[in-house]
Amino acid sequence: MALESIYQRYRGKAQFFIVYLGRRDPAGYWLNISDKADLQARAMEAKTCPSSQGLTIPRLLDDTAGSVDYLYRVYPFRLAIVDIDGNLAYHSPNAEVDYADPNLAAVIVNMLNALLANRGRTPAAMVAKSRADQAGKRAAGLWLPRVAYFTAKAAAKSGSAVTIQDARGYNINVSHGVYDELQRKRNQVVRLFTPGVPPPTRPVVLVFVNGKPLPGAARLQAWYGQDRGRADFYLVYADGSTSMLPRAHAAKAFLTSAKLTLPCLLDSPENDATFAYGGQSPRLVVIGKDAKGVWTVKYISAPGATGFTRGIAAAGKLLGK
Amino acid sequence: MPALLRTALVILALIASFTRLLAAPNQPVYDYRPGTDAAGAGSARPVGSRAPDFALPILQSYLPGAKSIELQRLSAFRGKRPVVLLLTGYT
Repeated sequence: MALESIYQRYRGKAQFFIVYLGRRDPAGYWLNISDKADLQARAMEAKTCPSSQGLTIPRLLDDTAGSVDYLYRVYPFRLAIVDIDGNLAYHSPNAEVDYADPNLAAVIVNMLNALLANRGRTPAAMVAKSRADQAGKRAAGLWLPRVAYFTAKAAAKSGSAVTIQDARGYNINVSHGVYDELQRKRNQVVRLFTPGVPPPTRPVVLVFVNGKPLPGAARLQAWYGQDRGRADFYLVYADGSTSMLPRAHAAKAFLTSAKLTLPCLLDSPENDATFAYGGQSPRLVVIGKDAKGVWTVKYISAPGATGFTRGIAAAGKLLGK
Repeated sequence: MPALLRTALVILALIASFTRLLAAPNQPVYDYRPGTDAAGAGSARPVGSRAPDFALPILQSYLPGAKSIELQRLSAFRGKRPVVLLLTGYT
């Protein structure tokens, strides 16, 4: 069924939007639209965008900060379906998608039918399937920046242009300054258990914290010192902040006060990595390969401070085997 | 004397608020852009997690003849209807 037909069929029961994000510049950033005249140009582009001709779905324009691009991690296309509670019922993998793609239409119809059959809410079984909150479940993808992504200063460089490949593999020329900054930031993002990303070479230990005093911090640090050669350890920091820079500074302060030297990653403002791994902090998760070579949760600590401190010992034994 | 003290306090408060205003960092609202990574734009968000809210102008707000800017907020549909978002650029 074509997208327009789906829209006409479901428009009384669900709201549809095409969110137009603009064009990217050669370095992969969406062009920085900074004034009304540029937004007018973007509106004209959105109106005449070839792939969406013939669609009467309402269109929105991403703002000058590229908010939706950032928030929904779009490149080059994402489908997101939001339930009536404001939670994601579906967030597609990034893909080159045409509006006429039959798979796209099928996903929308199936998801909307599932939601509408459940009074607009995401069925609990779908949520449970997506989370890595029990031993034996598949590891959830992580794509998280290190604290230094925000706090380290870029070195000023000058010189001739450098040829690199952009996000689609095209050769482009960028200045040394842009190149160094892109490289620095890429090196500060940790990608795990995501299609297209090399798998880890050894078990991964994730320690989810929320900025509150961490029970057993000294034991955790001692364990890290002892077993860091056997596994990749990451602290995943989440709190109530809605912007990443203050979160990065809070994470640094947390590490200092807890006397921890584990590599620290920052959860998103929606704390979705913490959500994927059970939504509780502090929590300790050990991920390893199962018999089929799939990265799965091997151990997850019980909620609460006691569960966490017991988890340090249990997970330590698991790694020692 | 109390009146003088009150005036001094008011002036100090005004200076403090003005200083805070000047010192407010001019940071981007969203400062982490995983979409710029060459290997893709990151993993999908988990099902059931909070969908990031936004308030975006509708296309017509910036077409010739528009008299005002109409913003659409995602959270306006909470408790009412599911929302399908097709997110893309110029293709």
